[in-house]
Amino acid sequence: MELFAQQILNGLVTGSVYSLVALGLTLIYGTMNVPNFAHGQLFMFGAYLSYALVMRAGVHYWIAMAIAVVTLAIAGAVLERSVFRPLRHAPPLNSMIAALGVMLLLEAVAQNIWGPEFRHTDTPYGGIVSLFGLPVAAHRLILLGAAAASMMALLVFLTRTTAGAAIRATAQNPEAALLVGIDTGRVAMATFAISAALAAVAGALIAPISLVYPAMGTVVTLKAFVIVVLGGMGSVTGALIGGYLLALAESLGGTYVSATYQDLIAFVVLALVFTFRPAGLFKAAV
Amino acid sequence: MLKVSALTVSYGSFQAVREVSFEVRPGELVVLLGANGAGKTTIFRAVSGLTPADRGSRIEWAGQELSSLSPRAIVDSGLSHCPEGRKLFPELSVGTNLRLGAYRCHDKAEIQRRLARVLELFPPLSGRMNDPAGALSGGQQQMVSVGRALMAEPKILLLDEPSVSLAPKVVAQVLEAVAAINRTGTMVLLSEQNAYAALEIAHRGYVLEGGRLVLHGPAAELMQHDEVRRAYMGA
Repeated sequence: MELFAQQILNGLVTGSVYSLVALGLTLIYGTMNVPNFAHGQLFMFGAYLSYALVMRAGVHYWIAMAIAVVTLAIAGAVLERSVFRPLRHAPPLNSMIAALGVMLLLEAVAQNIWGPEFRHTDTPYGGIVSLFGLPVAAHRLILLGAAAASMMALLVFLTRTTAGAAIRATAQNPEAALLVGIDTGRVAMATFAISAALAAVAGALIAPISLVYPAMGTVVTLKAFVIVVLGGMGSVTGALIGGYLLALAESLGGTYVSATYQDLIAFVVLALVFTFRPAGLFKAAV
Repeated sequence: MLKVSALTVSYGSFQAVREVSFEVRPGELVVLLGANGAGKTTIFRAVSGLTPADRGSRIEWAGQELSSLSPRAIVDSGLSHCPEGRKLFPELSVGTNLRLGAYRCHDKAEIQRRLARVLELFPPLSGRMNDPAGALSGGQQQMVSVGRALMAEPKILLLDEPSVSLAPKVVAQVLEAVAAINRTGTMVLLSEQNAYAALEIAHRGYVLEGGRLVLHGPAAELMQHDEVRRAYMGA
């Protein structure tokens, strides 16, 4: 029973990261039809910035996270402006290739700055607490809460504010968005910034738990794509729930089926979804 | 006044609209008639800035040349385009769709006032404000689309085939609403395949064929015109 509870908790922790990354990916896909293959690298940069600020500059953990989030938001906006905006009217393949290029570039830059070694980040919440008799690293609970709060903030923003409505409107009908006077270019830039910021939150949250290294984004990108397809391309709810579902399946499958094949589970799930529900589990809706 | 001169729009080497000139004067309701593919939608798209017009085309409105402006600047100039096929935001609520029509207005009380006006014009929408727009019937979706365009409080409203694929009774309701909008002083440029019903509410009309203007005149005259009767009214 304790093993089961531990695995559920692990699943929720990994799921928080998956959902945060997949949400950004699905937002960008929904509003711009760009599959941002470099999204996991934005997550990786969030983790590295948090690591560098905490471990090398001695900045407080939360302040480091805030700086990482703002930096990545700006980087996301710049990425949209400089790489994807000029390709808006080009064939979709061009944006895909550009995204792959950005992915390789970011990974090389990280390796150049921080080297190929695995890095560890300290957290102010290093203790162990007891949750219903279960020993839990305190930072994991912090991660669960902070991730949930970020996602809640995103949902409130998308559903309760005019700016959020403008993003959703652009995703649902870009031409009609233009006709009511929405600057869809600015929406694209804001969407990229928000998505990169979410990835940075995920990176900074996971840095003290898992190791930080240049290739840490690649697997997450792959998983996030599985989640986005699983949840229905462009669906916010789908990405949110899909992230937790996939991580739970992985952690339970890894424990009770085979730990060797843990990373395979995502792709088995993907194959099953493609076979039985090609449109995804949730209808596409931003 | 909206004054379009020598408007030509090409898709690649195909000229969808050739040297079309027309105008909508203050207070007028003008109808563009023509079969599918005659170029009506292309004209609307060029005027509202969605499709670029060819060199030499002039679209003058309120002292500005529209062909060099962004769709957003065109909305700000008081021109609102209700597109063919409604183009709603299907997953957003009716209320959000309508409020987004006033996206360029930042005065909450003013938006509320406009909303009340739209609901007065389309009473059936009052009870559906929280439903996703995509869940409404065709007629009600059309009301949302026209209402959304009106929320910008335009001086001129462009309506592209608002009655397409609606039941005859609903067509009459929609066109009656269009006439009511025009009576409040809003200029209207309407495109229709339903020639008779459109000419009944219009002041003047233009007839398009294969991307060219072939005929124009007061609505009452066009209604009596043999060619119009034969081509569009089955008489």
